[in-house]
Amino acid sequence: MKRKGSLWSIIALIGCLSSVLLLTGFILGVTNVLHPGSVPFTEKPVASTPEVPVDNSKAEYRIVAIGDSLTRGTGDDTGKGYVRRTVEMLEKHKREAKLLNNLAINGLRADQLVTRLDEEHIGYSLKQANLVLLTIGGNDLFQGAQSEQLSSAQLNIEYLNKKADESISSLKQVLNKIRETNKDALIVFVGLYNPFSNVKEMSTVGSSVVERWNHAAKEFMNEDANMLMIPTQDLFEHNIDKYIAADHFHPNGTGYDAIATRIVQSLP
Amino acid sequence: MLALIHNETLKVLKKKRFYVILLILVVLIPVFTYAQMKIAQNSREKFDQDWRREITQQIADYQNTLGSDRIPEEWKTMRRIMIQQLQYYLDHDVNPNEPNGVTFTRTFMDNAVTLFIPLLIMAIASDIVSSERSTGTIKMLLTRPVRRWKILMSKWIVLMLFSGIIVLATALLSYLISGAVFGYGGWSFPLFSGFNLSGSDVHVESVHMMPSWLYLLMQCGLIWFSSLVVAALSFMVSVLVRSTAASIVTLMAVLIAGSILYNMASSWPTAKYLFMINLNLTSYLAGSPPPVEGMTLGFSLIVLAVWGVIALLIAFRVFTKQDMLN
Repeated sequence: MKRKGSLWSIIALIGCLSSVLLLTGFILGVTNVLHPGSVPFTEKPVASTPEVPVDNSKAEYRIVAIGDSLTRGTGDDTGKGYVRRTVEMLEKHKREAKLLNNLAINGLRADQLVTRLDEEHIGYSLKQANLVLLTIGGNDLFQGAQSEQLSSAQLNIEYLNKKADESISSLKQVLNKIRETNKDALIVFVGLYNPFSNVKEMSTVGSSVVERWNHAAKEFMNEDANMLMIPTQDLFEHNIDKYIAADHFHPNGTGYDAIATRIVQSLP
Repeated sequence: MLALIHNETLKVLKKKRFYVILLILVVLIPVFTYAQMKIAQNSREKFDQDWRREITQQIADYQNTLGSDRIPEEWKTMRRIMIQQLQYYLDHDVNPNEPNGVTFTRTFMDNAVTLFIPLLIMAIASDIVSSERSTGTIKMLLTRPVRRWKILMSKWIVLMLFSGIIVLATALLSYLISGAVFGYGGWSFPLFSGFNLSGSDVHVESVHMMPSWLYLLMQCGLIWFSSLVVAALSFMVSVLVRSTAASIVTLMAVLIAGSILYNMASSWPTAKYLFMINLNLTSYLAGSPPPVEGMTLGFSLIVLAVWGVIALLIAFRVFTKQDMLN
């Protein structure tokens, strides 16, 4: 009975103490939510930017991918896209490669990418890379073409050319911004292909605007020795049925594989 | 009165349920710790411990789901809020998932508040009266020269004491067990609170920083309040229902229904008056969106308090007036 008695007093004591402690926590919690900042020990946060850890010790590709749905890998049933396939192929060739981040966003346009590159956390990631993979422009030229294929505006070559010229200036800004953020990285830009080369009405018009875009991009990239353009229009032109996914816009697994093969072949 | 409380405490301890609760915690927490460790390992491999890059990837992944037409609008709102909060953590160079025992405890308590802790409370509360009736000891108890409300009051006080102990024991055990894996540090690591939500926008003017220990204390306090309401409701059911099994099943069903409803409540705004929807008080602290838009901490506290007080009134009224036949 003596033991029981002491056990009871211990339980009662713990119970009372925990209730008091929890009541304090409860009051503090409610005060904190209703009157933010009035609770002791709280302070105003200060914004701070960390130093970027750049690890140059190993000879490896440190890859950051950025851009639109092609970089994301949309259309690939395995979800790998050309980015992961490139990494895998490099590893198969006994070259070390690491994907730091895939920051691509479905449906992104070149002008949206320009603002996205201003975000601090994107820069943090880009600074650590020595290889930047990039696709952009498909949505600028052909946005909405999947749903309302062959509307009259999309067939109009002048309208498309105007769109291409507008977005090419955004592309230049994108490339300049990446270069500003990272002075030394190799920037690999995957060119556009005409997803409609098997559609009779769209074939010539689409190919001509794609060529115009690719040409302007290539011309701009020539000025920087550390930029590389991977053409895809020639790859896809006669293989569109083999390389295109069910949505008639994005490449499928085989298509991404072909793009990745080209990238690996072109890498120094 | 003190003698009555003494007596009731001994009864609870004698029934060994409290030890079973502690045992459940000791068995279950290592399981969660292990799962958490696997997740941490995975992120270490993929992002070589650079949490900023991990958060950056998380933001990019969330942004991608925003474009999909198949995702319900409420989810998108939630994702937008989370993106803005993660962005805030990045801008202030604070890792929201700093791996240590305190972070684990915080996450575990957040997830335990709606189902796990109420379950533990119920284990004690649901048979505190009904077991006296199923075993027939209620007659012995009531033939003593003590007023009935005093008997019930002593039971309620004991239940409150044990509720506090259970909440604290859960936090303490999860800290001690997970700390063995993640380390015992992190008490002073800064956390943010005070995100102000309106629609899918997050206002950060009132955001302030506090050390983890203070956050944990507030969190446990809020969980304790929810637990007391659950205890009051179980207490009422225990008075009303004769068999312990029936009272456990009734409350379990209500709680599980609540956790299912929680995700659907946004399309049925009246659900915000149900106590189960309001149990998750800690979400107001973290700044995560409430199940029904427009719910605030004050609202939830009032709803919970009303449910709790009514439950206690019914319990006392019935217990003092009822004929004890069997």
